[in-house]
This record gives sequence, structure tokens and C-alpha cells, in this order.
Amino acid sequence: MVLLGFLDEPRGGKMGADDDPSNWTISRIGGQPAFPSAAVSNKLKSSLVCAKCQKEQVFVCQLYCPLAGHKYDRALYLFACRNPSCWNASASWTAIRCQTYDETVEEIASAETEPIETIPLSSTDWCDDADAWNSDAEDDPAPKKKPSSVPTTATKKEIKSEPEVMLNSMKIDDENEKSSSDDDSDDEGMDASTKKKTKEKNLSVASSDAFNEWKKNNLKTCELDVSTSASFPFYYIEIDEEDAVVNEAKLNEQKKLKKAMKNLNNIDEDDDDDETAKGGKEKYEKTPEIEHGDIVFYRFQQKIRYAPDQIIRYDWSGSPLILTKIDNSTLSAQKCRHCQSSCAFEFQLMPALVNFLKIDKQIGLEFGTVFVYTCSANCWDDNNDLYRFENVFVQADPDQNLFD
Amino acid sequence: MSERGGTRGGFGTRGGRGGEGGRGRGEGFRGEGEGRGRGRGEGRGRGRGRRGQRPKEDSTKSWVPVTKLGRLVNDGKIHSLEEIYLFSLPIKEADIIDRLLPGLKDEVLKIMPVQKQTRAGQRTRFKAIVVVGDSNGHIGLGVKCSKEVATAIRGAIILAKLSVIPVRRGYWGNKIGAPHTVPCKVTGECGSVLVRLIPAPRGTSLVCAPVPKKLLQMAG
Repeated sequence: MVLLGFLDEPRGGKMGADDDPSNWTISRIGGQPAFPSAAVSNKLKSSLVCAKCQKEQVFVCQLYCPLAGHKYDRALYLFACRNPSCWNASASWTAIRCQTYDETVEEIASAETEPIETIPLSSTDWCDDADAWNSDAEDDPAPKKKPSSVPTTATKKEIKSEPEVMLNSMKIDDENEKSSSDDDSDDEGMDASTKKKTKEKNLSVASSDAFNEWKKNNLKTCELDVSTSASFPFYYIEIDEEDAVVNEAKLNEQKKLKKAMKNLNNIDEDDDDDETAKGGKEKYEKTPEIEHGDIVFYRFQQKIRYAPDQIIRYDWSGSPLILTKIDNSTLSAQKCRHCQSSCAFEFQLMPALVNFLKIDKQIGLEFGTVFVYTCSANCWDDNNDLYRFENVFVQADPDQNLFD
Repeated sequence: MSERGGTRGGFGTRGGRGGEGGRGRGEGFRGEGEGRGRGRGEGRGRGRGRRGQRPKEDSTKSWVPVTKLGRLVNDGKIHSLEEIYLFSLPIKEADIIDRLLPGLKDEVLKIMPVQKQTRAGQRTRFKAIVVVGDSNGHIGLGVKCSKEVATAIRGAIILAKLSVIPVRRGYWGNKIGAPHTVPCKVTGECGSVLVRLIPAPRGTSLVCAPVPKKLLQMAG
């Protein structure tokens, strides 16, 4: 079950009663982090420096994310370096996890025992999660949700991580249906690189000097003052389930399209040959490649098109929505720094968030997308621990190398 | 102490709708959550979407850029499409074109059903071909196949916008006034189809079959 975070009110919003910047169990971006206790912030101050440039990191966001059957209040904090040269590097980000034991939460008996199968996903999985026939992935949700089979009775024992197992098994089916996925994406990767090479050859169109001039004029990153310890504007995060949002958006779309459909009917009547009426001689052909050639980014866009303003995508032990092609083994091979157990994907920051990380009306931090991987065992020592570090992986904007 | 998770609730696999009843999606859907606020009281606030203030209708109107180029266009740092063409920057968001070419028109050239043979009979999808252009030097063509006509058209419009390309115009004879025709004889081939564009004097207008005529008119 994927949860999406959207931008909500800024600090001191309309509903005054909700405004509590010091509550550490609220999800928000910007401002200053709210830790469970002052001891945490005191101890952390010295360690929140960028690994590359040793400057102080700025607070990006905090998420309150307790886990099912887990008797802890759990929150994750993200910090990043504002230095433009550190922007797209994983090493300049820090993720912290804080937990406090909470007696009042009732433990579910069998929640944790169901082992979640980690299905080895190939690097091209995201590219071709829909088989070639259905590149829109439009009827994807239909087989996945089986609400009738999920136990609806009240007893807690029956509440297991069944949906997760079901979803995982769905992925196995998809893998089998795939055809020539690896070949396709390899070709696309090659195409993109050859396209780039031909562009580089066309220096007669615009010299690299002209481009550098243009970049200097328009990008103006060197003017950012990174010395002052500023903070991003404070916003709360509103959380919604992806399925709910998508379904609602689809309904809205259909309503709008109904009007357009009337016009379309006229067009259909024009082509009323016998041939075309039954699709006669038209054979199915795969639609031509997209002009820009970046099919991984296209799939990313397709996934978020119903909610393009989402800033956080939360899918505990799910799989990230990749922005650029990446070898899946680098992501899944991450290990927890403290207990050496494997790390599971927890959430990712979406590129839409960059628009809201502004300091003095200028973009203060840039990235493509940021994955946060957390310890799958949720290691924690009640007596000694105040916080634990987690792994961060940053993907740059697909065209970042053109702008550098 | 303020309530856990505030009234906005938290992420994480725990948390049902709290005591607010949410949107009444039904228990079955939330398999792994605990019962509704059972034993935890109303104020726990682990529910989600307590207000639904996020304006759902609005979200489609204002564009939130996802790429760096999109952000630059949104901020107004790029003034014309020609700057993007000059540096061969790939355009990955259709809204960029919308922003830089406000006078863009689109036209559906053809919708044809295509079929695939499956075990259970034939599976028909609709292929939409759409051309976008501003009649002043920019043209784009998009082809999209989808199960529904409307979806195919929408998808094709987006693909057409992504493929917008500048058109070079020249003169037939004397270089007076604005360019009005192709700069030279050009030929294009795709499969067995051959298209040849030949410059003509001013006033000749377009002499061709209806489909290329529509296309060239949109190009300018």
C-alpha cells in the first residue's frame, strides 16, 4: 500500500489548533526538526555535517511512521547539504531514525512473523512492469486488489501482512509475462547514448562556450549564500493513499472526457470504411519511441501523472519508483550501519519537492529523487540509543549532466 | 502532550482511519491496519486525510515541474523554445511546451482501431494520431495506442507536444518579406511512403493531399 505525501498548510495555518511545530510525531518539511527529546538534538548537532564538504546540513523533512505491530513511536528525519557542489550526492544526505517505546500500542500477534519475500527485481523491472501490449499500465490495479479475500473480521490475529504477500506474488506474475524486456531497455539505453553523441557532434549549432554563457546567466547557482544557516519554509504534509488518489483522479478525468467524447464520435463516423471498422488490415504495431528517448523517465511520469504534486512516496519494504536507470543490486545490497542486517526501502522524496525547498525565493536544494532505506529489523536499543542512522540514495535529475 | 501524529496522522503501515471514519473505504481494503481506533481513542489521530483539504480539482490546473528544465521554464528563466533547441536540451515534460507556446493548437488526424489476436478472441485498441502546431514554425506529431479513444487522444497530444520541432522556412525567389515556403526541395521517406516538398512562389498556397495539407498548415 503506497502512501503519498502532499504539501499542506504552512506553519500557523488556518486551523490554529493543529499548529504545533514541536510535536515530533507530525510529518512536515522545512523549519527545524522536532526530536523526541532535547538530548537527541544536543547529541546530534555535531554529527549533522556533510560528508563531502563538512558544512552544516539543513533540515529537509521529518516523517512520523510507526510500523504495524511495532510498539514504538517512530520518526525519520532527513538532512541535506545546501552546497551546490554536493547536491546530487548520496554522501551529503543524512537520515536519522528515532524511536520511543510506547506501551499503549497493542501488539498484533503474528504481524511481524510473516516473512516478506524479497523478489529479486531486475534493473529493467520498472521499465517493463506492464507488458508491451499495455504500455499505459492502465488495467494494472484490477488484479492486485482483492478486498474480498482479505479478512475483514475484527480479530486482530488474522491481520497479517497478507496484502504485502499478495502484492509480492503479483510481481512474480508480472515477471513471467514480460517479454524481451531486457533487450528493449538495452536498446533504449543505447539509443539514448547515441543520441547524445550526435548532439555533441553538432557543435556548429551552438558552441559549448555559448552554452556555458547561457548557463551562467540563467542558472546562477554560485550566488547562493551557503554560509548562513537558513532553513526551508515550514509546511505540513498531508498524507493520502495512492490508490484513493488515483481512482479519484481517474473519475475526474472521465467526467471531463465525456464532454470531449461527443466531438470524438463525429470523427469516428468519418472513417467508416469497412476496413477500418473492424481494424481490418491494421496490425498492432508498437508505438514509436518517444522523442526524447528516456523511457525510464517516461514510465516515472506515467506513474505519477494522476498526482503530479506528490512530494513523498511511502512504501515500506516496497520498491522505489526510479527516475533513472539503476542496477537494482546496488540498492538492495545496502546494509544497516548498526546491525548489519539488510535494508528495506521505506520512502522516497519526489522531484516536486524541489519547488518548495526555496530560500529567499531561490531553489535551495536540488535532487532528482531521494530513496531512504531503513533497517529491516528496526534495530533499537532502548537504554542507550537516542537515534540511529539510515541509508540514503540520491538519484539526480536525468539531464543533470547537461546543466553542469 | 499533543496527540500522536497530530491530526494529520502518520505514514507507516500502522494506522487505520482513526475514529473519524475517513472516507469509509471499508475494512477489507485496509487489511493490515488495526481496527478503527480500537482501544486507542479518537484523539490518536493516526488516521489519514482527516480533512481532504488538498484541492483535487486544482491539482490538474497548476503545473508542478518535475525536471530541472521544467523548473527553469516555470520560473521564467527560459523565454523561448528556441533557446532549448539551440542547446539540444531534451524536453521531457509536455507542460514546458504549453508554457512556451501558448498559441498551440491540436488536431486529431485519425483514430483507427488495431487488433491483436488472443486466445479469447480479438483485442481491439484505438490508435490516435494527433498533430500539434502553432502555424508559425513549430510542429509536433504524436501517436498513441490505448484501449479507450479518449485516453489515446490525450496520450497522443502529450507525445505530440514532446516532439515539437522547429520548421525552417525560406523563399522561392526574391527575398522580400517574411519566409513563406520551404527553403529547398526536401524529401522524406518512411517505409514505402515518399514525401517531397518543393518551394513555390508566394500565393500558390499548399497543393497536396488533405492530410499533408493539414500538417503543413499547422506548421506554418
